[in-house]
Amino acid sequence: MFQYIVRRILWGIAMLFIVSAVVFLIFYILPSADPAVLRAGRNAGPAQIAQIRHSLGLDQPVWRQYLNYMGQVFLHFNFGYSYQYNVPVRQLILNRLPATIWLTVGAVIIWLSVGLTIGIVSAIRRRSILDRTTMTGSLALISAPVFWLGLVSLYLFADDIGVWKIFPGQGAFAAASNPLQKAEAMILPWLVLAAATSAIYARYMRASMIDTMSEDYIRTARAKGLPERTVIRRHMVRSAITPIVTLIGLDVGTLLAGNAILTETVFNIPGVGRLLYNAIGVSDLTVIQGITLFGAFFIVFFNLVVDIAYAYLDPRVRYS
Amino acid sequence: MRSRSRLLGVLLPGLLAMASLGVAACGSSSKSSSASSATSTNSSGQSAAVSNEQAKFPPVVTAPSTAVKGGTLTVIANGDVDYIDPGAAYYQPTYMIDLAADSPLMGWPPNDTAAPVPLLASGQPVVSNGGKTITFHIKPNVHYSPPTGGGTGWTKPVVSQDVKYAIERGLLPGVPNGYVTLYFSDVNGLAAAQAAVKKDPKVAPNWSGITTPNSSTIVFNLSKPSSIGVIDALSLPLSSPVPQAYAAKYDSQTPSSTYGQHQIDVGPYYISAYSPGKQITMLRNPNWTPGEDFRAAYLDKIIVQEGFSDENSAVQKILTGTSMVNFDFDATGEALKLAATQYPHQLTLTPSGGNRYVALNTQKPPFNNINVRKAVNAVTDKVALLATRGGPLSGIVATHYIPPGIPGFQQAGGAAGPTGVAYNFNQYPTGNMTLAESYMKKAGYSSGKCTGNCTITMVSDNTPPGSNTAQVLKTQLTALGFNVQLHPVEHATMYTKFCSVVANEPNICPNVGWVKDFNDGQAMIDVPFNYATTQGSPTNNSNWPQLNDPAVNNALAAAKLITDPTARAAAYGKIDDMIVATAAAIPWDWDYETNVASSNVLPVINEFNGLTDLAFTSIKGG
Amino acid sequence: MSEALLQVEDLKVRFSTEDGIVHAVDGISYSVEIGKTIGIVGESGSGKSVSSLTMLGLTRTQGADIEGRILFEGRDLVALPDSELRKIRGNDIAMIFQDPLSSLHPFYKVGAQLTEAVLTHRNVGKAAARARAVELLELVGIPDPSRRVDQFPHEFSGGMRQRVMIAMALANEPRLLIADEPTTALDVTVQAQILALLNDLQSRLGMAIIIITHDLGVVAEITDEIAVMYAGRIVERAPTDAIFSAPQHPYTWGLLKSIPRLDSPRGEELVPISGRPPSLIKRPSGCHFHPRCPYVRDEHRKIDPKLEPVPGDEGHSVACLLPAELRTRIWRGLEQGETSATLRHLVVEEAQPVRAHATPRVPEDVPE
Repeated sequence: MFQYIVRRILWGIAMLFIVSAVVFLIFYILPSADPAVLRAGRNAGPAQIAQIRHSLGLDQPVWRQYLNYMGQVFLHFNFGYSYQYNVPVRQLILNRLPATIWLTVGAVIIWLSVGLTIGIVSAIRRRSILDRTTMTGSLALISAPVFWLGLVSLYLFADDIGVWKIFPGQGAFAAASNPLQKAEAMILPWLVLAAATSAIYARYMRASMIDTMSEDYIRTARAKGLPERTVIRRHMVRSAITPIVTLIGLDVGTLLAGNAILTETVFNIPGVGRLLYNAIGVSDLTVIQGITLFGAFFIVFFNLVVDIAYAYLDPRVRYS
Repeated sequence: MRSRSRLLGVLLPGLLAMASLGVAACGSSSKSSSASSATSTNSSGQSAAVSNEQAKFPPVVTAPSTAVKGGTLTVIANGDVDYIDPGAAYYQPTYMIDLAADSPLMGWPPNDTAAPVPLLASGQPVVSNGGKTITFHIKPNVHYSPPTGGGTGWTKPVVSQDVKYAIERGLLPGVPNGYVTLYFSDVNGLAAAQAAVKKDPKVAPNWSGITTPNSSTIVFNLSKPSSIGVIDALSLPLSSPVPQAYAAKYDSQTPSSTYGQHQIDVGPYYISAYSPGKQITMLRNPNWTPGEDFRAAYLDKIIVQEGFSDENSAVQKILTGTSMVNFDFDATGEALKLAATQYPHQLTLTPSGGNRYVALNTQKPPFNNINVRKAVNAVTDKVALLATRGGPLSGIVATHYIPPGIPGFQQAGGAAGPTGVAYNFNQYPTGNMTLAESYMKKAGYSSGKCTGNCTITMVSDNTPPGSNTAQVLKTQLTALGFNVQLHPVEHATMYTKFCSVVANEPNICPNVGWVKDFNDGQAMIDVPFNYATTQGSPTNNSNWPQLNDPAVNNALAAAKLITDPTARAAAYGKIDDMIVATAAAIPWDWDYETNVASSNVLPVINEFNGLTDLAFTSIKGG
Repeated sequence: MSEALLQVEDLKVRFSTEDGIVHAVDGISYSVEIGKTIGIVGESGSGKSVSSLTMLGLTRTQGADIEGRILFEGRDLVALPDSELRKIRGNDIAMIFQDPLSSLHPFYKVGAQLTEAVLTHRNVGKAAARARAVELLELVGIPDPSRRVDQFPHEFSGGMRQRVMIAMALANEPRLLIADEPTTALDVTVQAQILALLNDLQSRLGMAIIIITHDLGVVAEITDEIAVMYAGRIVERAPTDAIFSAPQHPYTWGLLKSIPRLDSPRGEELVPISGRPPSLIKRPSGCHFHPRCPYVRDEHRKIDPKLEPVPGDEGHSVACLLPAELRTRIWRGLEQGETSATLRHLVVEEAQPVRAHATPRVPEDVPE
């Protein structure tokens, strides 16, 4: 087990290198704004632009820039300075992470509790009206674009511009001063972000439950005289939930890496996703790189956590 | 970053400034009272073309007598300031903050755009030595605020050396000021200072042409009598004082100075906290004495909240909420309609002192042929282009480049523009296909439409309304037989990779425009149409048509030196028409700022930049 | 005669499917006495598993249509509500299944699954339940039970796992154990061990066993009585010795003849029963076995035989239209190595001529 973890960690580090190299390449191949010109300001003469380019290190060959950057990151945990804001990237990202963490944690709790419950109930009452309704409804939620859902929810429920003024609207999270206000401001974003995901998890859980239901050990459990509720809870769900665990790891990792960008943009939540989106718009390479590395780290980390959890949940895996 | 790049221009000569002070005192209520007239006159005596629609939403430019102190104003923003460092800021929305936090030598009361008024200076400067020496005295007992982000600031009062250092640091690559060489090029010793910076980019050079004989006097020594421009430029935030002993450690940072995040301000407000991309918090400057300058300061606290990406819902939020105003986005389209119909008392329309035009690349085919350019000008339906920004409420169809309210506007032909056959392609706001085809024939296309190699490239914004404008234009050009390849890209990319880079510029850049730095013709049409601009910065070129007309170049060089206001206005008006005659671009919009405010806000608009003036705005009941 | 512990009376189980109604169990009746073992033998699809699952009410969720009575200690299990039936499952009646690897929950330790079985029906503390679990493992012959009780199912070998299943079934000292193909997934030596174990446990605990299998070799060892099922019906029922010495049904003959015997000549081919098991939706007319029976007559296609006692032997019942003496003669012939083709003539002689059926071989000598 220990060897397994060590191997996974080494592989994770290799991944980080590969990912950042790819980002470097993309940045230099695709046309994007020129950060030196942006930084140099209006009416900057070519000499001044060249000077900025030099001080940003952009006049060096790409591979040398890459090595310098990676060296700084791994040896000094220094992610450089944002071209646009001229603040350390690490500070910028750490400043935005809490909002994304708030968003992620709340959404995860909602989509797990809602999605898994619906999946279990739909599987048990297969082909009933409830089942058909939830599965059709889930298709609708999966198909609805997040930003559309977000805007619609704002126009319906936001306490400033909504028809029914129930929940805090755009920008409320940034303006909140205590955890209770923050949680309130997050209700609509949580629901919107969790909507499509809980639909997906409901479908996965339902399928997993249906697979499990036909297993022989369920028949054994019933033959032992266990009440059906116990059979479901202790025998079926316990088995069905194990493949879902891998999904959770990936979803949480990508969310922390900025995957909630649409939700963050619609609700004006100052998180990592929005930071990344703005950075891409002005070719702020250091910020883009920084977020990518953070994100890759989260994904690698959570995948490892999930693998360990899986081994804990399924004892058969432990000996391979 | 949805707003277009805005550059600010130059102002009127001091003589007219003296005269207009008296006029300004009466208040420029001419705008607010002429609900039905087709024109209105501003304080500098220039007529503006105002449609009936726009006249319904006049801005308030003085604080009402009912204004009380107190309250927190939330400024709703899409993007961020360009630089939090006032020495580098060159972006109109940033000036909303800088006008309230900084004290350059000269400043702008909201109701007087004729000339800047002494702000840090204790009085008007003395110009001597044939217009080549400008002497300022600065007010005593002006103190600095606590620094942004906390800590110990600077307890000594402001001295003239602080103003000198503030300007010198603008030469550092780490303080990327965009206008110091533009307006201070005639100050002696610039070349030597620039050479010193090249040798050591971490220390601000000594600019020998700026001298401080004592701690309350600062003198500018020029090589040419262009004092007007210099005095005007001293109303920009660059000359707001910065003590060298405090800032040097920040200015020596690489790759850029970090002074902005630790700045100390001298205005009625100071920036107490800055979270990039998130929020700017401004509080009352405890070390600013009320009455110290003409600014009021009713609000206790100002929060700029960033990241509102959907303009419609943001405008709605402001209109239906409390204590909010907009920052860097206009109300356009549906949001504008909503404001105009349902919340008319919360909407104001103010001329922004800016224009929008379609730049045609005159240095490569097909637009190196003047007849093709005239044809394209003639076919353009400017009303349709304006509709993409919200129609008549958002601006007026432009017929030349100097917008209403700026000297030279009337001289260039006023609202109707220059008349005569030489300008016939410019006289049809909805386009004239027949005329366009006749010009195509003159260009050698016998059918009146383009034949043969008719592919032209266009690079535009990829977000509305810019993207919509480009689309509409593309359709109009296709009618002339052109095969338009439209590439929408990010706003910053559009400029830094394509339109402002001479080597990469496409045939058409449809989303460009210019905003005045000052009320002066030079500020509007020199940089954008002078070939000297292109020669000086081929990778950061703001002469998007790449116009190289010797007559225009010479006229611009000469007009700079004119000091008599009437002659100056006439000269720039004439140059404006010359540029129109070249058909190098298609002017289509004299822009209005559309500002919205919550119902409990008493906004005061500063006519200088058309934005809410934070030092005069208040909240009902405090 | 001991009192019947379990009495199945005319049990019918039908399933509605898209293709039609499946007559899985078509009116079977038998009884099991205290402490005795009955073997239910038949091919797949004969309805043997369904009948025993139905006993515990485990077919109710599949939309089964159940008729008839199953009397267990006087109570009708078919009529009992599920809440009552649950008290019997795993308690008075226990069941073990074919594949012990898939029948044990892979994520729970063996001990946990055992204690669960105990705690479902007994109100004892966790410690007591665990002690019982260890005791049970010892009972079924698992070495080092106090260590192995904390292991997972996949850490046991196939035979050990089946012992665990048996242990789990015995947790609450059931009076009836249903073993559904308990040795099919095991190899032969382990099979023998498991059967010996079952035998041993039965005599020690005095419980009745129903053992369901397709393997006659298995039932020969440990059963007192055998019921042969075909197409959802019992076609022959008799004490074990009688089945092996004097079987009365052509199907049983086919089963017996298809088993390899140590004392048969080398090179003698096994004789399978021709044809395939019938569809339980569209069953053959008349006698359900007639399409595969080498001794079929015309009227067998029209008349459906009932399970009736063999004349002179009350304990032996068979459902066949052939006369009893004829059947005995045929069996004698088969015992002596004659083929069914030859023996057909006996049938044909008795009745009108019938069309020839395809038969494997024509024999040379027909002893009498």
